[in-house]
Amino acid sequence: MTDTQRYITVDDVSFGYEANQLTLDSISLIIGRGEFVAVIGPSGCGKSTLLRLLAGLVEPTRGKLTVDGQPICGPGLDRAVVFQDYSLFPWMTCRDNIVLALEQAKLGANKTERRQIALDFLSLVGLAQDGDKLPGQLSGGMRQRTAIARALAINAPILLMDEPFGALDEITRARQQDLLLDLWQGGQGDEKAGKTVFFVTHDVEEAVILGDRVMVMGTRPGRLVRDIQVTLPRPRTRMGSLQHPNFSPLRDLLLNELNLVVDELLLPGSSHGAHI
Amino acid sequence: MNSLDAKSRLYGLMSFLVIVIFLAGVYGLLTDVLRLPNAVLFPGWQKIIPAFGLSFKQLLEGLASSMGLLAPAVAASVLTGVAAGVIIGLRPKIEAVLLPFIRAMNPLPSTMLIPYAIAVMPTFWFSSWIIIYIGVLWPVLMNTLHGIAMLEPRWIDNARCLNLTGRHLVFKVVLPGAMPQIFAGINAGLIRSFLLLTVAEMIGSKAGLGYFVQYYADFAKYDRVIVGMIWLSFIVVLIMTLFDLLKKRILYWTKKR
Repeated sequence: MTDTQRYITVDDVSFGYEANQLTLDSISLIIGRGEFVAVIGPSGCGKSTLLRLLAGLVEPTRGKLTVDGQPICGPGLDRAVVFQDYSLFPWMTCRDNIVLALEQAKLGANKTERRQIALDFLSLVGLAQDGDKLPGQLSGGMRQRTAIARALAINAPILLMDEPFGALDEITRARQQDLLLDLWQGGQGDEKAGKTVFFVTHDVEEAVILGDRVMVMGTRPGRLVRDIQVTLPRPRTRMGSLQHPNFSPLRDLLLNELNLVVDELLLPGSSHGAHI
Repeated sequence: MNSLDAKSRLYGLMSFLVIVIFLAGVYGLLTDVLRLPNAVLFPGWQKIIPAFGLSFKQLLEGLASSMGLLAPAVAASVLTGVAAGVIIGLRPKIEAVLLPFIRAMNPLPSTMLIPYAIAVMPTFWFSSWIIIYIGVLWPVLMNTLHGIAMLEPRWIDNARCLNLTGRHLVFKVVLPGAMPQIFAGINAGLIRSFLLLTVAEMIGSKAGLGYFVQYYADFAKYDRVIVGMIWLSFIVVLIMTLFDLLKKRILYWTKKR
């Protein structure tokens, strides 16, 4: 395999908060440069823990994680993280949150330039007018867009997203998915700008709409069950994907894999209520 | 601040004033008009108001003297308390060793140190200073530690993902995040400081508002004593109001969403 295909590797990684109770058991996976990987699984399967391992926020009990051949030791600005509704400091305006990240990433020559860059990225996500607002003054969707703007602004090659739209209502979530598709696909093709995304979600449709690949995780202990290629053409839109003939079979396959088809909560018609 | 908020605050202030005027009126009725209680112990407004005019210069001097003691002592407590809190709070192993000690010191009344402080310190001013300093230090330190311990783990994760360390971590994340709790500590410390100030001034001082009250009480001049108490209450309310304004200013981001 070439280096491009083996950009992020997770090699036989196990993790447990307590000695004899594993949260993650022998996870191995390889992510290529520029790939969009969605990870899905029931709650408690350790998908967020896997993301925290990749972010360097926790260390594996066993095994090795590498990015571009280098072992992951601690968090780094080469991996931008978007959490579920808490990526921003509430005492800083949206713009200052981004300016701080830029400062840390040593981007922009001075304060004025950094403020301009921050504004540019806020405009990119449609928040040009809201830079001076505090995160608490924005809606959940706007906060997540700001968090995405910050992640993009520091120009990290890797985006780690931990259920970033999980707390949003249905319509807002759909819009954020389209925005993310737009932004990500806009950068692909360009070898340098193309970002590798690791996207954790509990929403089957979201995984199919966004991902090149969907990893299905099982629980107790957390492990990889299946790795499914999403055979939907790029560039995608949310609507286009939903209407594509390959969509339903993929979704059904995933639901089967999750062994949750029988679970009333995840039936398509009633799934909405479960997320709001 | 929207108009409803301002309206209801004005309403609150008005009702407060009405209650104060009503109570003052009842007092005046009992003393000046009906002359029911002992006239020496409970002088009427007819005596208190002229006494206020006569003491005005003394009250201002007393205020200056009291503030000259209180402000440096409280400022020193807040600065060292918050600094020590940050230094200890970011080192969990040291904190585990010191916390039981700090917990034990906090409730001890520093007034018990007064005789010893007077003996040990070179001047009265220093002995009062150290008593106020120690009394205010513990609640500030305790609450700073508490605030740091209660920092949201997600803020810490976030800071780590941005590689924030050292000075940046302290001033951009730790202090702002712990600030609500730090202000609760300063609030408790301030309340304690007024108590310590007046006690210290009544015991050994030749100046200040506590001394003013004690001095005239010794001569049974209760009109002046009441003037001193009203003046002191007014100053305390004023300081706490200013403190609340400062708090709102600095904790702008905790306003309800």
